[in-house]
Amino acid sequence: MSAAVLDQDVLLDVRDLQVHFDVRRGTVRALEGVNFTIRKSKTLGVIGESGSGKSVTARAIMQLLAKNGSIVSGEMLYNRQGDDSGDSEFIDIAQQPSDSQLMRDLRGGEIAMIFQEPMSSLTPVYTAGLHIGESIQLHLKPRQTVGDQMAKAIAKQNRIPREEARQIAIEMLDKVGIPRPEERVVSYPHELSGGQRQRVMIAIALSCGPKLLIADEPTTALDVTTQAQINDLMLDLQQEFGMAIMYITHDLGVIAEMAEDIAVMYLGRIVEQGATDSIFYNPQHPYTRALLRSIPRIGQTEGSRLEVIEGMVPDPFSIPTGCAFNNRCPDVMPGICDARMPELLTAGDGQRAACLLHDPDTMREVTSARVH
Amino acid sequence: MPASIEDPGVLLEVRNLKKYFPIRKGLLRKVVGHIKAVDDISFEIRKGETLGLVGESGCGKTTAARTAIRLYDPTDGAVLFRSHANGSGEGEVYDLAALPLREMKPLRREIAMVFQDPINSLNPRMSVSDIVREPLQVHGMDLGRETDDEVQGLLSAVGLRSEHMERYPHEFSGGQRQRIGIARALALRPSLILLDEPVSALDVSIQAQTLNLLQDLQEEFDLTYLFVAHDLSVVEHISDRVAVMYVGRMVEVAPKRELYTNPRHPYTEALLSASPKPDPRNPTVRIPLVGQVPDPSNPPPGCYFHPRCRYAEDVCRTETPPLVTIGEDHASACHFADTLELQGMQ
Ligand SMILES: Nc1ncnc2c1ncn2[C@@H]1O[C@H](COP(=O)(O)OP(=O)(O)OP(=O)(O)O)[C@@H](O)[C@H]1O
Ligand code: SF4
Ligand SMILES: [Mg+2]
Repeated sequence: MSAAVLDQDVLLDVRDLQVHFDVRRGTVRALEGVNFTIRKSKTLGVIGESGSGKSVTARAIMQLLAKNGSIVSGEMLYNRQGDDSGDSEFIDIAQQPSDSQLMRDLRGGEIAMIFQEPMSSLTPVYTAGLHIGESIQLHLKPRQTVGDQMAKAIAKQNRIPREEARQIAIEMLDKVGIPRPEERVVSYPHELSGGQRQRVMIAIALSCGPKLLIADEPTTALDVTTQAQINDLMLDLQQEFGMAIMYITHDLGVIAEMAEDIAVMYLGRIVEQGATDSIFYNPQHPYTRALLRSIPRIGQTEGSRLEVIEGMVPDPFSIPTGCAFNNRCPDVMPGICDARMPELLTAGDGQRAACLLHDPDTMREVTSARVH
Repeated sequence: MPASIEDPGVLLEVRNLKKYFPIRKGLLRKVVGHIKAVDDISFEIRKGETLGLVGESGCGKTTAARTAIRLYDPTDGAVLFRSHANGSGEGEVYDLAALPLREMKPLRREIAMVFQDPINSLNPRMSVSDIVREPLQVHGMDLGRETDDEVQGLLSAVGLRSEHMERYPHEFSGGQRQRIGIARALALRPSLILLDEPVSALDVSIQAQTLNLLQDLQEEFDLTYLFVAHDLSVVEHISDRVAVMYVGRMVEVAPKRELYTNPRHPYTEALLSASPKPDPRNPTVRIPLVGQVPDPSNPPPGCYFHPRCRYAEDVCRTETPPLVTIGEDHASACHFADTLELQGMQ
C-alpha cells in the first residue's frame, strides 16, 4: 500500500479527497480532489474564501460530515502511534465508517476540534458555510456549569471517573490561563467572556492529549486583543504538548503568525501548498498572488487603491470548466485554462501549485503553438 | 489645535457627548444603574475626510457614531452639524442633539448610513430598485420617470447592472448586497455617511472591491465618511484620521500615519501590537495585555485602562486623564502621554 512510503514525520496525508453533498438542486462537489500534508507537531494553516471547502475538509478528517455528504474518493492517511512499542501504522480515515469504534477513539483522543466561538457576535461572518451541517455539538451548553461540562467531556474522552475528571478540568483551566479556576468551574458559560469560553473549549480539546488539533476559525468572532491572546496560548500549548494544528482561517495576518505550512483553497481544491515564507514571499499560484495583493497592509497602502480580484467566487453549481479560477485569473490562457485541469506540481521554492503555467507539458504546447 | 465647527471646513463637531443606557431590574423595572456606552467624548469630522473609529467590541463605537448622527438621542452633549441644504456657501450650523425631531427630518437627507450586515439591512420583499428609491419617496422626492433614471444611475455608480434592478436581495452575493446598501445611502445625495463595519462580513477579495468603490464614490460625490471598524488595517487604508475608543471614551485621535507609527496612548500601543501582520518575516512584538475589558456599567476609577496598563502609576488609579492635545493634530487621554516611549508599527 502507498502508505508505506510515507515519512514518519507525517501525521496526516490527504490525497485526492473528494466530498459531495446531495441537495435539491443536485450535487454540490464541495471538495474536488484535495491534497495536503500535516507534519507532526507543526501547524498547517488552511486559508481560503467563504465556501472554498475549509470546514468540509475539517469535518471529513473527523468523519463528521453532514448526513447529505459523503466521501466519494481519496485517502486520508493518519499516522497512528502504537500503544507501547512506539511503532506506528498509517490508517486510512476515508475508509472508516463515522460511527466505527476506531473513529470514536480517534475523535475522543487523538484528533480534537474547536470552532468559532459561537456566543460572541462581533461579526456574523461567513454565514454560507457556517450554518450548514453544524451538527456536531462541541459548543458549551448554556444551562450547565463549565466544570460539569468539562468533567463530563474529559471523563468520557479519557474513560476516567467524574471526580478525577473534575480535577483535570481545574488543572486545564489553569493551563489555558483562566484565573482562579476553582471558582470558575462553577460558573455558567454566559458568565465568561467570549475569549474565556474559547479558552474553555481549548482546555476540553487538549485534555485528552490530542496529536492533531483542528481549529476552524477559532478566533474569528473575537476582538483583536483577545484573538492575540488565544493564538499565543495555542502556540504555547503546542510547545508544551507537541500536537500538530490544522488552523483554518480567512485571515492572512493570523495565518502568517500561526502556521509553518500553508494550504490555499479555492473552490474545493488546494491551489497551492508550501512553507509559510514561500507562500508569502514567493507565491506561485495566480490566486495566492492576487489574494496577497488585495489585502490592505498597514503602512503600505497610503493613498493607493487596492488591487482587486475581479468578479466573485462562483456558486457551487456554476464552477467553470478546467481551472476553476480561470474566469477571474489575471494570467488566464484562453482556450487552455478552461479546457484542462491543472494538477498540484512543484513550483517556486519547493511548494506545490495547481496552475497550468507550472505544467511543463502545457507550456511546451503553448510555446510551440506560438512559434507555428 | 482640534478644529471646531466655527471653522467652515468642519462638517460635524461632537462636544462632550454622552449616551447612557439604563439597566433595569425587578418587577417594577426599576433603574438600578447605567451602562455608560458613550461617556463624554468630543471630536470633529472635517469636510471630505474619512474619520476612522476603532476599538474592541462593546467599547461604544457604534453607539457613539449613531448618537453623533442622532439615530439615538444623546443623554448629554452637543452635536453640531453644518447643513448645506440651502445651498449657501458655508452652510448653517444646527445642534442635532437639541433639535426637535420634526426639524431633524430635512437634515436627515444630508446624513446617511451603511450597515455591517448586508442581508439584514435590506428589506427582502422589495426589489433592488425599490430599495434604492424608497428614501426618495419618504422625502417626497420621487419624480416618477426622472427618478427611474436616477435610481439606475446610482446602481451603475456602485457597479450593478440595470438587469439587476428588478431582482430581490436574496438573489445577490454579500458583496453585491453591500453595493445595494451603498446605492441606497447615496440616494438623497448626503454629505456625511456613517459606515458601520461595512466590509467586516465580506470575503477578502470582495472587501478590496468594496473599499475601492467607497473611495471612488467619496471623490465622485464629495462625501465625508465616519468609518467604524475593528480591523486596523482596513481602517488605516481608508481613513485620513483615526480615533481610538476604550470603554465609552476616546483615548486617542491623530492622523492615521501618526497614530499607527507614533501612538501616544498605551491602549493604542497594545491594540496595534495585537493586530496580526500578514508578513511572516516581520511579526509584531506583542505587548501583553492582561485581563479583560471592564464592564461599562461598573468601570474602574481613574483611567479606565489602568488595570491592564503596564505603565500605570498611582495617579492613574484615581484621576481620569482628559483627552488633551499633545502635538499637531494629535490628542491622547493618558497622564503620561508626553513622556512614554511607545511602540508603533513600522
Ligand atoms: N451539508 C451541506 N450540504 C450542502 N452543501 C454543503 C454542506 N456543507 C457544506 N456545503 C458546501 O460545501 C462548500 C464548502 O463549504 P465549507 O463550509 O467547507 O466552506 P468554508 O471554506 O469553510 O467557508 P467559510 O469560510 O464560509 O467557513 C460550499 O459550497 C458549501 O455550501
Ligand atoms: S491554470 Fe490558467 S486560469 Fe488557472 S490559475 Fe493558472 S493561469 Fe490562471
Ligand atoms: Mg468554514
